[in-house]
Amino acid sequence: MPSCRFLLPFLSLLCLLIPAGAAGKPLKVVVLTDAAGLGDKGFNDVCWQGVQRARQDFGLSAQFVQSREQADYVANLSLAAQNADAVVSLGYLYVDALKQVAPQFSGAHFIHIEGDISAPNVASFDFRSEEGGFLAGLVAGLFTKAKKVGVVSGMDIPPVVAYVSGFQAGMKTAEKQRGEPLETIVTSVGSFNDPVKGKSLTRALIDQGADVIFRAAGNSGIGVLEAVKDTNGVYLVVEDLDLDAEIPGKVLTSTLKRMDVAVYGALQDLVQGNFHGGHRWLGAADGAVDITEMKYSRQLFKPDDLARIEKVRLLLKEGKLSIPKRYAEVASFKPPEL
Amino acid sequence: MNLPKTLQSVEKASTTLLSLLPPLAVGVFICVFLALLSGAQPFDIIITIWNGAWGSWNSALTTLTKVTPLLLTGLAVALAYQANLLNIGCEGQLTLGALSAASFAVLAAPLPGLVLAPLALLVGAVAGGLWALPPIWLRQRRGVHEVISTLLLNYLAIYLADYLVLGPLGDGTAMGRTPEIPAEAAFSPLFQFGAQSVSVAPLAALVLSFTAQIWLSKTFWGYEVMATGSNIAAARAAGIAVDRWQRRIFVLSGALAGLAGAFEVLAVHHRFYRAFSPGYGFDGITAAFLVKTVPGWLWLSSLLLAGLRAADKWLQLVVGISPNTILVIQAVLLLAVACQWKLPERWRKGVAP
Repeated sequence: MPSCRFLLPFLSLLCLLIPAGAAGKPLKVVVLTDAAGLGDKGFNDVCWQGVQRARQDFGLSAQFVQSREQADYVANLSLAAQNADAVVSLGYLYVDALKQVAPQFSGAHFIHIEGDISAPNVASFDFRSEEGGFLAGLVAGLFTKAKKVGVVSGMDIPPVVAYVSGFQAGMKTAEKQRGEPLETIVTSVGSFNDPVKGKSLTRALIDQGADVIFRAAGNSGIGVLEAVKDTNGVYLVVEDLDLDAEIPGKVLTSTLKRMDVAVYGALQDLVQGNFHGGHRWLGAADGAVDITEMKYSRQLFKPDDLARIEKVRLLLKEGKLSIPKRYAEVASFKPPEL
Repeated sequence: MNLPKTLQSVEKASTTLLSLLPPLAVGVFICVFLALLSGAQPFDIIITIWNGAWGSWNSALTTLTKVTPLLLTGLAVALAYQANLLNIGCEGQLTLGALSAASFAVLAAPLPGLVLAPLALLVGAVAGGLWALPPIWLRQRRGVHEVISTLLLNYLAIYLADYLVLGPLGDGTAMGRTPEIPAEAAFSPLFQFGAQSVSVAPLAALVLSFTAQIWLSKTFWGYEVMATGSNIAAARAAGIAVDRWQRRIFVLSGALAGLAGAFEVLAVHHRFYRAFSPGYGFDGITAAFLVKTVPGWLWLSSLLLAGLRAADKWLQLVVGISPNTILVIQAVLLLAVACQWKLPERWRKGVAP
């Protein structure tokens, strides 16, 4: 109550003392997400799966905090570092804040997904999203009957740019294979948390004649999913998480970015006492990037095309392909012989 | 010394505070009820909000940081309302003020910091003021209600800023942000704890709100403005230049919102980025009307709203409920105040005239 504000210093001292006694035994993990939060059926949910598995296997306690505004990133990281043994921050937007906070809490352990942070107490992971995008582009390009596909991206941050560049390279490969020109229309929502705009952009792409949509849009992707669900003859390729069963037969495939494996592994290291900081790139060669087995959509493809997709998966696993991760590199990309 | 007048203003101030208490109590009661419905312990929620707002250095610094923009946008709304105008456009004015201040600080980087910071603040205020010009012109010349025009101009401002920051004013990355302002232009921390700090900005905002209060209640010009606000026809009949005052106050209101954005850039973020304001412009309306648009009491409502905003992460950590609960609480509080619940007549005797 406002009239009590005069007692502020006294009361806040009291409040400091109360929670101090309640320190639990299990290792405590706090997961920080951006404004999109959990339930995005994508990036944040994948990472949370890794935390959940670690919670079951190692008896951790885990909580998540969704930051409603960018101004809160430093405050929320600090708070989490004070209250938890391990802090997991999700997403490129946290990079600047984490660079400030990590050195202040040398005793805490940070696990960060997407972004290069070099501090001894931070284990950060980046993923070769372009490899997933490449597979997605190949699938979409081999499939499209309208010879036109659409891309709905969230923000043009590096991981998303890698996804889209890889996708374009995949389309180029399919183009060469089919021997006819294919068109890719790229649109950007400008936010990872605007499903309504995601939906309207997807509608616009469908109106333009695209019959396959690739999304890399975080929570905005929920709108993309809905728009595709509502329209006959339009198919979807999903990013980050296996959503093939979400609309069986209409989701051609999902790219898999195993951020859950990275988070789980880092938590396992921490529990076993050999946490090590540093930055790592994970890709198809590490088993961290792939696409699904296309359980519901296999019958829509010619056996030859399925074999080509398999071949590319193998080539990526063996590390034999170098996929562009920036728009400028797409033009000079040489599609492999399939 | 005009004793009766001074007494009157003191009495008025205390009634503002007292008239706030019943609606706040009703608001808290409704929130407790909502908490029970959602299966949480109401007492837990209240304690958690308190802890999240003031329970630790982390919380207190977060709260204090959020006070500045709320106080200034609150002041912008309150001042305009004193002149019988409603400025719903603080969000856009703040956004453009922030972008202008950040871009100016980047472009004028060679200037010494001592000059650069005040100039950047000024540029932010001017940008906000300019953005308030079209609505007041439309209102006075074309009869377009300022609520409509300021509200719509918010979207124009936000997308204009998006365009500029992704293009000519951006830092070249795809992040949609300006380069960082030079370190000399940034406010130095007044108090620091870990990676968090608070600058002199909240104090500056506080001084501004008190200055506005004194100007309104103690000066001749302030009296003319208040007269405009309380009865336009009477003010006009008394020979007060109503239109001119409304113009000035409205531009000043926009400038204050722009200044809020400039402070955010110089004191907190050190750059402008897309989706800059997390609703500070709209919360300014709540801040102003929680204290019946009396500038002198704005510190109270701003502290309350800033505390609620700071506490959202604690609600997730401790109680495990959505941070958006805070938005519900804010809305309930404002509605309760708007309903003007009062104490029964016999309890109020001797308190209010």
